[in-house]
Amino acid sequence: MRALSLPFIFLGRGILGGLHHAGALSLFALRGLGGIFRLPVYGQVILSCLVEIGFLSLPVVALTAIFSGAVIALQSYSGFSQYHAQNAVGGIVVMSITKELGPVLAGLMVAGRIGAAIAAQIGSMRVTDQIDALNTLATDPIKYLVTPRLVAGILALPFLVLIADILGVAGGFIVAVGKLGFSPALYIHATHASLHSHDVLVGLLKAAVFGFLITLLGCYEGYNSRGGAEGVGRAATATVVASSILILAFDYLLTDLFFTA
Amino acid sequence: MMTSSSSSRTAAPSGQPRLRIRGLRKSFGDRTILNGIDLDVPAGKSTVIIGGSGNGKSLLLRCILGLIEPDEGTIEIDGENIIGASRSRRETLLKRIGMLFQNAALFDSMSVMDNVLFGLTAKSHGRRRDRATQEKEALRLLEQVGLGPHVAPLNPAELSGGMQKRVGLARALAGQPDILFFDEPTTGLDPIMSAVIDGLISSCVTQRGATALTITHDMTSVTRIGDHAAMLYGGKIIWQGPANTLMHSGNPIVDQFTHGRLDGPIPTSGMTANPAEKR
Repeated sequence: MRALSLPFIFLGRGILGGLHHAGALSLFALRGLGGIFRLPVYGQVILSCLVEIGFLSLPVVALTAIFSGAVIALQSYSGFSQYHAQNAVGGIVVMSITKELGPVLAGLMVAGRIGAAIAAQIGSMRVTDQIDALNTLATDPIKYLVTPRLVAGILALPFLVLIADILGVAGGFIVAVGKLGFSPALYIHATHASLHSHDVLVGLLKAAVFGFLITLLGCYEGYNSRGGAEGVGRAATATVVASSILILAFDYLLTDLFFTA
Repeated sequence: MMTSSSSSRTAAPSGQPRLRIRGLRKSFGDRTILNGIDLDVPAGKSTVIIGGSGNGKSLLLRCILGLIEPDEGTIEIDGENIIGASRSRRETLLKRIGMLFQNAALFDSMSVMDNVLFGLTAKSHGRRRDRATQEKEALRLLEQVGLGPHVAPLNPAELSGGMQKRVGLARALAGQPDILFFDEPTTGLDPIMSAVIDGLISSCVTQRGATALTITHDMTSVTRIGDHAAMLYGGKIIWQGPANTLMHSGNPIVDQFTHGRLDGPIPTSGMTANPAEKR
């Protein structure tokens, strides 16, 4: 009888654990966002987070976008040429990049680069008593450490995605014109015809959501890390895994909300 | 080395202890660590708490600082119970408190100067001063703890353990606190550096008129810095009295601990992390 009930016990524990985690994460997010409306404003910390998350992530996001655009151009050409629909390549590249690949790939790249770094940074502060020291210095650690990163994540990701959109389309253009023999004017015309401001704006909205999720998970895992260097490593790994999954899940939800209505 | 502060201080009402703890309990699951702590810390004196590793000394300090919420009991600073106080009220109280952590807990992403400046700005009590004035003040604080201006641009990782503790002390003193807490301030330091740190702690009390509470298991430190002493064992304060009587307390547990004897009421074989766990 006990053996039969074991799967239900594990399932129940898993569900309760998941709900507990989700509740704790939501409260943490509320505290972090609540910091935006309380003084003091740590402008210099926000600025340095913007540089770290936005400016320093630019090379990796740019390279990813250029190669993604180039690959889409190649792949769509090889498929569409069978149906004599090569002219659609420019439109496919711009739609794929602005609607999906720009935000998602930039999100995944930033999750790997910044999510892990935030978790490690805050985690090492936790295990070396630096967060407790902030408390004893009459400084709210959530307001000082979490709020600036959330703000920077929400602001920096759309900026990165906008650049990724431009470079992704440029990557497709280079391959289409340089390798596949497209006329530059025709390619630009096809791109322009398929470029819709709604797609770009929804892509930027997705980016802001992904930026929030990445920084939230990095801060949450780091803030709650335990057990020295090993715990910090676990926090970094958990951040990358969870934020990658959530980026894809929220991408589906936002696509469903904005593109299928 | 230390100079007296000119800032106005909130003195405890006469005869009332600066810090008063009653019935403090804290458990983690079925492990009881603090099992009814009663302690008075007199104003303007240095009180030292001794006890074996894992007996909850640091936990007691974290409860006092509001870093961990106790299960039961009261902690009063100047007659005001701080347990359950609002975040803003606690921040106001914390501005009068300075804390030196066991590992100094310096912000490793900042230079020594920025660490001390952080203490100055965080506890500026609403006063706004320009950067140059604050840097001058930070250098003065570093000088007070025996560090020259050459350490200001260094990162904490470039300093020795003793220097890190001195920077931690400078940061703790930045807000001109009138209550100071020290968590094992001499652990891991050589005897000379321990004497330097002890001297700085004594100066805080004698010259600044601060109230100090130090957690340690270094008996030499106790005799150097303590006016009063207490021993934490089994989750309770089992003895408290003048520090100069600690080595001859007459309490068998205290005597065994202070003289480092293997035989006595404190079990030395198959020791649990905390005697209170046996309950």
